[in-house]
Amino acid sequence: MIMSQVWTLFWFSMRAVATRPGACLVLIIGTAGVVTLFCFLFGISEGLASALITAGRDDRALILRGGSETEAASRLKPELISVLMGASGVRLGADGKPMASLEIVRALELPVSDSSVRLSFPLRGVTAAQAGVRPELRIIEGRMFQAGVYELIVGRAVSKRLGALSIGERIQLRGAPWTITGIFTANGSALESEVLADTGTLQSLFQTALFSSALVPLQSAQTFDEFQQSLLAHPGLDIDVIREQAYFERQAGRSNDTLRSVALIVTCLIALAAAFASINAMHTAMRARLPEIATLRAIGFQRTAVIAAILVESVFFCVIGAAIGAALARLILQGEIFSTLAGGGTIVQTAFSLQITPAVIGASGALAVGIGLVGGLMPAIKAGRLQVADALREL
Amino acid sequence: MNFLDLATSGMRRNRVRVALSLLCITFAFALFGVLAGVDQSFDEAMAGLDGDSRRLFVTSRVSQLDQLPLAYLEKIRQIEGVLTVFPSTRLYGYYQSPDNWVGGFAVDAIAEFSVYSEFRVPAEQVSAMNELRAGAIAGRNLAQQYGWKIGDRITLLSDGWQRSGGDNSWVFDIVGIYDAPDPSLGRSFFLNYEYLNEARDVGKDSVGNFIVAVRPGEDVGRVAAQIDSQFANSADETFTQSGKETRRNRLRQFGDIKLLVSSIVSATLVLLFFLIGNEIRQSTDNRIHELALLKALGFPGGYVFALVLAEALMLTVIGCIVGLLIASQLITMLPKYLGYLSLPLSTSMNGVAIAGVLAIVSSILPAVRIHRLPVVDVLRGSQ
Repeated sequence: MIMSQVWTLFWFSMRAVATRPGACLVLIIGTAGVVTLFCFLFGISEGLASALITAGRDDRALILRGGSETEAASRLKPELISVLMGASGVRLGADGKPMASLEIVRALELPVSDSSVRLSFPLRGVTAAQAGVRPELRIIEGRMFQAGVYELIVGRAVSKRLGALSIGERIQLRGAPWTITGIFTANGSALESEVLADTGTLQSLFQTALFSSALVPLQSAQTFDEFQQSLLAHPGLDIDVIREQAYFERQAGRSNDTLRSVALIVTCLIALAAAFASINAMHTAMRARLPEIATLRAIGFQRTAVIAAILVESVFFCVIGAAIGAALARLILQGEIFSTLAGGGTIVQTAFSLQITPAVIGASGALAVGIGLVGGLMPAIKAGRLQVADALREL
Repeated sequence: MNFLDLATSGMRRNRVRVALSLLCITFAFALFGVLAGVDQSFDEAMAGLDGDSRRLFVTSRVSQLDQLPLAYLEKIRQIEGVLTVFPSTRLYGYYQSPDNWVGGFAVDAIAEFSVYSEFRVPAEQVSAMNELRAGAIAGRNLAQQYGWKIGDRITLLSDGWQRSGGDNSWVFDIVGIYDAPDPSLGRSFFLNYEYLNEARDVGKDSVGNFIVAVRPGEDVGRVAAQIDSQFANSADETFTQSGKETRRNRLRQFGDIKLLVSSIVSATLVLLFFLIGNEIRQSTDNRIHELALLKALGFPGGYVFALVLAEALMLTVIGCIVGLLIASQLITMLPKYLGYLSLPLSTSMNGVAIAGVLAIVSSILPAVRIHRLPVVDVLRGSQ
């Protein structure tokens, strides 16, 4: 009974929308703005998190110097290699020996084409075992670098971000010309914002015998503890052994805290402003409609039906606005590649694509319904409290 | 009944509506304050280092993470136009917990504070640091944050440099505290390069960057080019930029994100201001009969317009001031590594200016309508 009354009232009011376009537009435009902004800011945060989290796997272990927070700050001595060769729980290569990629992580500043900007990307040396260690890496253009000569490959995000970076191009690095031989992808992970070369060649270039980190594929995710124990049994190594996934989750958490707090402050403020603009618009529209509402009450529409119909109407317009906002954000921004400094302390870029995920759209929808409810509540209560006889007398 | 009474009477009559508009305006200006405040704090922090365009930063061409050999110090000193040169190496560390970041610079104490003359510190504190190997000078804001005083012995844990033996704790004696022209510059921590260099386990005789003060009257660009050409095609090529360019470049690393966020948020703000302006215009429009009545009673047109404007101004300016107060609190809650942020005066001035423009623009349409409309018609229409 009430439902049908609500429906009738809602439908009745929709047909009269043209008489008060102002209020409807405020609701629609306001929410559309809020939702576009929400999708954009949280899309950035989601994209960055997904780039970092897909980079890590739980069946790979990362070895860093004890107490090092990042690969770039870590230094490992070459003695580690023999220890790794005797470790247990590790996946074996074709030669029957445990696999491990010994890596050196530095940073490389590259000029963005057609501008004076130089961006800093991670430069990672990898050893021959890396093909087995990182199966997700695929060369999409050109070929893999060769060890021992000055060759490197760049991630897809690096080449996109720098503009006209092409195969065969040379980069000057510590007095020597390096040739770009290929461009690679890695499931859209943060690895795509890195530059890869051979560890040994980089070590001699940087005149060091040290490594930054070692990436080791495990037999399975369950053999991590076994692997960790077998390494920590060697005293005096001063290393930390962590799952690669845990390492990247820590990185993602750190950089995302910043983004999330900025996103939260900005969207809260704009949502509050839009909510009050909506209340105001609905309030004004409702004052003009008091005689009409009184008439409806007089001919038998129930108080609760009137209140519900007003709420439904306000939510309806906000949801339209949200749909417009989300569509706008998805059309313009989805998949756009950005790069930025990810979190405190780092100086290298992490590139990622904006991800307006269903979760983000769902949350922005909920936000819009919230604005609609808040916007409609006060006018609805006011209409509910209306003294029918008094209002009709005023006509 | 005086002007102010008349101007506020409309507001008093419709309290709900005024409160709602005020809240909406407040939050819009709070958002404006946070956004513009972050932008302008960056700019002002840069302007605070006025000597920066005459100082050169010599870093490795590979990246800022890479080191240069200490032997370059003498070679750079020989270059014509170089007044002073000293090594500076970052010591990324934290105090007690990893949340308490400390940006340490291992430098030559005397050269550092003579080149950075905008950092004010008593001369005897600088010479105390120069004489005491583990001596250090901290910025006023940093010292206040962790409660350090001169004479304190503190330990920083470093993520980068270790002492020989794999120990990552570094002990310092605070011998001085400097004052900076801007709070964001008062968070540095200066230690002796020699102390770091002798105690660290790897990377001995390497330098993060050299800081060069250029002789007055010399062409800064020419000196920079000459430093880079001196080391061209060597294993350690250099990249020399003025301090100003270095800072600008560092901000650019945040890159398109910062630009996009600020452009999208500004677009949303413009939208919001449009809604607010429209709301004010409508509410004045609804009261056009009262205003016409005032004219009929003999008030001049200018007076009526002033009334409309005063009411709009009260709404926007009060909302703006409260919003900016909220912003000044929120902005300090942003992550510290973005810098020491506060709401600069210039942002507040811009906010008040926007509030004024918003009030004028939204009052003009109703005012013109009142002006054009014959009073008699309006009054007849209200019957």
